[in-house]
Amino acid sequence: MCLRGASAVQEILDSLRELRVRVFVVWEPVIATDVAPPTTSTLARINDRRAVQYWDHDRVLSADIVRSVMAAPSRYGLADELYGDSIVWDTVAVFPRDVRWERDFPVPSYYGFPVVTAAAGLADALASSDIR
Amino acid sequence: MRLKPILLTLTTAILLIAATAVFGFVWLTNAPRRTPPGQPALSHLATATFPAFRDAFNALDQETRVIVLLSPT
Repeated sequence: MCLRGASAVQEILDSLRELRVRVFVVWEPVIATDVAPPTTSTLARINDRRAVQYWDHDRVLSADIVRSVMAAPSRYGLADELYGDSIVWDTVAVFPRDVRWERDFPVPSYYGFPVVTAAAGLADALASSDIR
Repeated sequence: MRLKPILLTLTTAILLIAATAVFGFVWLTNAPRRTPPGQPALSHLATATFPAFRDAFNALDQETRVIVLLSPT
């Protein structure tokens, strides 16, 4: 599912060639077969030059998101509750210009999961960010 | 007795599965990890490098930014 999501993100980037966007792709171990960082062929799923790819072995980003959301759930307006041991994965979030990340994880203008089914929402969010 | 051929087949199957698992593990841990042309090399995100990740996000605050969290397999 995750790999299909990665390909879906690349397809959206292909369709928005002129958009000024930066994509932070964070790979993290979640299932038993995630024993090592993504291979070259996996990394190639998102081949856009606007992307930067990371391996987050200890899931520090996920932990920071969970901490931020648990500290102020209403700020994020999430439908699903998060717990201390929750893992945020197969998720995409969009942040408009001028949004800054201070102490807590910034509130996205759009987020969705799993990525493959959130692709349409992601495309709309990116397209609308271009006309702001 | 038919038990011996069955045991042999079972042992062979278990050995094959084990060998495939070992090969898969060795391949996964040793395979190359090159990012596509035009992208920086794969960065490792950890507690120590997390502030730099946040700084990179903030440094691009005049662009739309996307964060995607994925599992590699």
